[in-house]
Amino acid sequence: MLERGKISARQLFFLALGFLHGNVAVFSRSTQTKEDIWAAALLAGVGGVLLVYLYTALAGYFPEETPSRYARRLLGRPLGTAVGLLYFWHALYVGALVLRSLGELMTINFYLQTPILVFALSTTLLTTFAVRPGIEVPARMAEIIVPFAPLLLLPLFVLLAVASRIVHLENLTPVLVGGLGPVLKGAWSFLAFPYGELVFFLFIFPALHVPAKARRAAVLAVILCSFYLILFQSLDVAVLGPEASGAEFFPSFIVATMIQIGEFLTRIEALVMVLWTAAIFVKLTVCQYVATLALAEALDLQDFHSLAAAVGALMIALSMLIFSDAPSLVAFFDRYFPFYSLPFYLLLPLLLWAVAKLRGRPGNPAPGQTEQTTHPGGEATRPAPPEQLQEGGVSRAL
Amino acid sequence: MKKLFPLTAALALASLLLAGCWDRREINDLAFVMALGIDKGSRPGTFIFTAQVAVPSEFAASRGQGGGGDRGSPLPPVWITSVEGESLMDARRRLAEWGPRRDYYAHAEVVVLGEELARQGIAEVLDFLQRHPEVRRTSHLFVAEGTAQSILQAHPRLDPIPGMAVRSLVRWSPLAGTAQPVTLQEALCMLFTGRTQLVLPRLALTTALEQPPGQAKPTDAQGGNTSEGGANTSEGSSSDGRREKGGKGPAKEAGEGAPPKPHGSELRLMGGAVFKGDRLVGWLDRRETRGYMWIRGQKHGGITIVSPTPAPPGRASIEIIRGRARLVPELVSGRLRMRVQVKEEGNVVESMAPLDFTKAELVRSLERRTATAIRGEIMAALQRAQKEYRSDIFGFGAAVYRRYPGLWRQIEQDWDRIYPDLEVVVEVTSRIRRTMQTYQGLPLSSSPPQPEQRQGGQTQREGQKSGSSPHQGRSGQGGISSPSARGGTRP
Repeated sequence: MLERGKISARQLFFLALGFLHGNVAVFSRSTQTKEDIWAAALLAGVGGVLLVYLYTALAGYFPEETPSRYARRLLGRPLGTAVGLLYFWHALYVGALVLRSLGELMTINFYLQTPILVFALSTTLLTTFAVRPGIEVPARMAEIIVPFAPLLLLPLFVLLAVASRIVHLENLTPVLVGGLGPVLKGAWSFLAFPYGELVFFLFIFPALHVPAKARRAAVLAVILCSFYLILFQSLDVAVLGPEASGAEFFPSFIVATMIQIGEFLTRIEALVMVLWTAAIFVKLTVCQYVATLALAEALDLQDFHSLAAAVGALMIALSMLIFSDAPSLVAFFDRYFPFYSLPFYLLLPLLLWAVAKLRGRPGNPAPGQTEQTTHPGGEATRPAPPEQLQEGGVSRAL
Repeated sequence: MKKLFPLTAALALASLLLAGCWDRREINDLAFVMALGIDKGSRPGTFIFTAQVAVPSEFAASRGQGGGGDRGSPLPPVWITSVEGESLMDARRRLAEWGPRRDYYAHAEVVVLGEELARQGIAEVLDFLQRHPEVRRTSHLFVAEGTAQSILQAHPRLDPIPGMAVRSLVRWSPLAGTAQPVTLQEALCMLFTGRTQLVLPRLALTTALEQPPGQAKPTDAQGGNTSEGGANTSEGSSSDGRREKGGKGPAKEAGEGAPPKPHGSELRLMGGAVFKGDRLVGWLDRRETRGYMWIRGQKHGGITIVSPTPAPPGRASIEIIRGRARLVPELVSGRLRMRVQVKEEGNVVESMAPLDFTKAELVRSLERRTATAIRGEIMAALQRAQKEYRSDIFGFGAAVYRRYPGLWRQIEQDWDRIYPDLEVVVEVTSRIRRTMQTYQGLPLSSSPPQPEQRQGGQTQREGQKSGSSPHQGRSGQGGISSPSARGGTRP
């Protein structure tokens, strides 16, 4: 474990929340699912909770190690290293996708003539600063900026949208008009993105003070994010119409531009954008951090800090290279990403978990802990650090 | 110091990068387009793009100095420019050939579509408007009577920037209740979905003065006064309707009745423009527009005039304060039927008869008559849109889709054929909530003058016209059953 920093469960919660709602709210997802997008989001949320159970069960076997390390122990050195490198690639690739989406968001809606590279460069410069010192910096940053985004923005946004009479709830009917097919398709897409990307947190769980608290924090984040997702996606459809919202790159952004109360409270999209950009920033930071850490551990480096800038540079280059145009980016997210990411978010963790379970407890550095941590609510036997009091604040903060 | 340097460097770099050098817009470089007009060009496929640009100096002058400025008549605070192009974007970019500033559309809250263009189809225009982030989705769309260019050239006195004047028209239009504003996004939603056809408000040039003299014709200044058959002032809307029925060609006359100046300089909302798909197919007059608005259950206002008692002639104005509608598709022995349930609440805002509103039966009778009047409006709209234009502006298709999605999938292709013959049952419930500050009318010394009688005859014809609708026979639930003695206009 190269990471020496420690984070609290509360920080993990905000990190996961910011990560999850990073750019789900801005991208068009309703192309197939139309009126029943809420059902798809709900279903995906349930799937997301199950995924968290899988990830925390897997992490419970190795509370102090990242997958790059324990994959070696489970699958042998060459295969394990390959798994570590695969996760490096996946984190890098998702980071590049997110970076590109952020750039497209900016260049489509605001900066029509600015080269997209400007956004990639300036954002990555900042994420590199955040990632270099280790997980504690992104965690603290998330703790500060994430509460603004979903917790403050959500009620504000919904209230304002309802008050400006642009919401036509009848657009959400009839319920389940296309049968279950489109709903499952939509849920499949939502499951891969954003919930499936929680797999990156396998690299962050070991940095927790009390690893046993990972599950509760992550599940809470998933539930809150589902709520957020359901509300925003439904709002998009209700405001823009089921067909029209599918034609937009950024339906939620359009909704934000339409909010106006009376003659004075208008054009709040800039405020909305600030908060979304902050969340996207958290997501990018996590991706870059995980890519950096996974690479360093897979290559047995002594230190990962110096890799951060290199990974950032790779991410910029990749984000520029992957797609030539914005529509293909959307098409990729909608059609191919769920399949592409399936091995990363489901098959590999499932494999690792199954092997870990079959092997019982391999040479675990902290024996006696695995059993309790695999059960929800099981208290860790490790002596509780002083932060435990503070961690109790997760539920209170909510 | 060693640590401070990279931080400072990063901040400096970030401030350089984030300032948006490429998309920097200085306010003095921008031409704020207040309204946008789009017309058909001289050749097929071309467009004429008219931009109404605020001129800041004149704007400040006219605003700052109020009425008593230095100059006798200041220049209008807008600069209007038109350019023809092969496409909308082509035309828009050609503006730069003589416009010294960059055109900027974030304040263009009004988009006027020329009549010819609307008949040809507006999908291209909507695509253009949707694609550009500067254009607000909350901008309002209008169809011009004649060309959009002529509408943008209006110079209304009260708000010298026509674009802003139109925006204000939209804002206060619920008072008259005769036009339904439509935003760009709503239009997009309807066109994308295709289950409800579009109705855009119609804008016309007119004069601010409607001339009362000449023949003793009552003014229709309220706009859209509609009435139960009987003594009332529906002259305006009925003549409007007659004119518009024939006025399928380029309607050049402005205003209604016979104003002295055919082309005024003021703007006026005049009913609605019915689309089928993205093509304009016809107009709705004010009365029909109100009928349309009832069915759509949209925000209401406006005056309904009823004669409360049969025996002494007299009228009362009911101002609508609330209106709701439900569309209930029903399957009656395999046949589709549409039930339209309208609930209205209103105030008595004017009483032209010595009426004592504490009498419950009087209020009930007023309510019945209001319901009948509303029903008449709805029937007129149905007659026009369903029978004549065959355009599902009421969203009956959408209602069927919501209630019976399976059935809709079967009949969707045939809907154009089914819709005109769809049986529609209209039920209106009306309630009177209050009578403003008094509850008793002033005693009148004499009965209304003679011309009223002539009026009654005129509306009778109209009543019979709408009465010829096959649905008229069924009376609604609001107790619209007993026609009054004067209400002989109803079958």
